[in-house]
Amino acid sequence: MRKSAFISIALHLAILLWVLVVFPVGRALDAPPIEDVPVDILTPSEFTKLKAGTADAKDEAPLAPKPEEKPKPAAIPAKEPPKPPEQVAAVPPPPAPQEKAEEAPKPTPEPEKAETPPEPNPEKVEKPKEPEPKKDEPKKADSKPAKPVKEVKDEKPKPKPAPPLEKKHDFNTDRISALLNKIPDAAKEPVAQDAPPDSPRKPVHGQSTGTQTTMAVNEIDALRAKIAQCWSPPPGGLGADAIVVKIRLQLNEDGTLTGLPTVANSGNSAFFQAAADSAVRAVYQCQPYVLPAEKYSLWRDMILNFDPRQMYGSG
Amino acid sequence: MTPPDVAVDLSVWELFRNAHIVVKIVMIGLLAASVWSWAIVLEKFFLFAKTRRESDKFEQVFWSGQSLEELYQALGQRRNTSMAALFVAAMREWKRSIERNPKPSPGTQLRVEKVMDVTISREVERLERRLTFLATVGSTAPFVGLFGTVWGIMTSFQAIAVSKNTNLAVVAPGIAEALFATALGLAAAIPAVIFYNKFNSDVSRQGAKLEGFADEFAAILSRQIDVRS
Repeated sequence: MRKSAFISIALHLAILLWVLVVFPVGRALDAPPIEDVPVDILTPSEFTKLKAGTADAKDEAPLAPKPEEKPKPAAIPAKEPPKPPEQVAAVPPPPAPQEKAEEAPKPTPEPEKAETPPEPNPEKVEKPKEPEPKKDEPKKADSKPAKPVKEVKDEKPKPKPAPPLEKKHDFNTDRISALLNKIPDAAKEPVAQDAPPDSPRKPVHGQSTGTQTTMAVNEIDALRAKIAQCWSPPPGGLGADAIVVKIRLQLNEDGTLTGLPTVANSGNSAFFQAAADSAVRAVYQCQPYVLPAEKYSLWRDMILNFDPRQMYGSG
Repeated sequence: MTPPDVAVDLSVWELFRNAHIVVKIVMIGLLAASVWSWAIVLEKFFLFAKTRRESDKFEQVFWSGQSLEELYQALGQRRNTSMAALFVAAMREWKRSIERNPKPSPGTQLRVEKVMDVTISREVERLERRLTFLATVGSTAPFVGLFGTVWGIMTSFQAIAVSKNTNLAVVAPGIAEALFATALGLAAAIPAVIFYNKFNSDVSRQGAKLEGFADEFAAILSRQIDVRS
């Protein structure tokens, strides 16, 4: 026994020694260095703003300098002296300056003329450019954000005549947002999205400055998911899948319902009534809804689609 | 030398040195268990080899037609093992019975068989002594190692909580040292289980062999009793 114990100890010592010698230090694994990818975290509303902004930015960047530069060359040849027109206006007595003063107004209309021609310009430039963001955006964003963009496509003919009337600044924000938002409302009844039934331009309490006139898709999804949790559609029933209940609900600023939600469409099957009742109940139970306060005008009054196929899928 | 904050020394010795005292005890215990179980394995290995060799030699001599008296005389003085011990014990009992009462009775047969049974059980006990230690190590060492690991990970998580830093570099040494305990436990347990199973079957085979020899020898003695009575 002593002999075996001795052998055993010697064996262990040998192994320990071997381990100490062969693995003196943990060798660093040769992992390829990870490249840093800069990531910006955007809120849903920032995301929508970003997309609206890129379409503008591309247009503005090349165009903004143009209207400024063009008037200048026009004005400088008109005014022979390099003096600024302000000083000229300040000194009325001498007749020579009067001529200059007469000339001075000339440049002012000229820039206007100069400005008007560029306006079609942005349109021309915009037409080829708008398709670009369309190609890009579906890749970047979900399929849903693509919808508003398609609407822009549909409504293209309209804005063309419009811009000359509008100031350039308005054209950038309101027009785009109007395109993104509200045009479908005029044509059809509010579609699947919970677009507010009234135009966002109507002065409402909580109207924002106008840059964010769409609800971010994620916010809509969040709202839908919340309601889907509360909603237990009546199970089964003949043609239960095909039923879509539209619920119109009006909300206070704190996210509570102002009144009982109403059913906005009708169906002839008895099952529809049950589904509609359950949907109304769900909307009622789920309040208050947490939605971005600055977009109150959008969710103050909206119509939600209750589609069992979607709700089951998501919920 | 690499800067200390980057190079965490993960050598085996450093792992042991940095470990918590409980983990250290676990590691030392497991190492001792491994040493002792390997000692038992080696000892049993030699013992079984020797036993097999001796019983083969004895059987050769026994069945060679040599007189049992002479064989007994030759073997009686030595310290015998296994089959030879069985034979010597049986012969001694037989001789005593014959000396007192030259006419053997069925009682003699019974006594001789009893003596052989006792010898067999003593021989088997000798063969399987300390094998239970192997079984114990085999079944408990993983748990002991796991205990050390759990303890080490517990302390390393406490270290994370204190430093409020979940960087892998902070976590890794603690986990490595904790896992080292499990590695030791497995290293001790696996050979122990393998050799326990091997020796256990060896013991039962040897026991069966002894039983067979005892039966044959009892048959021979029974024939002798019939002849003499």
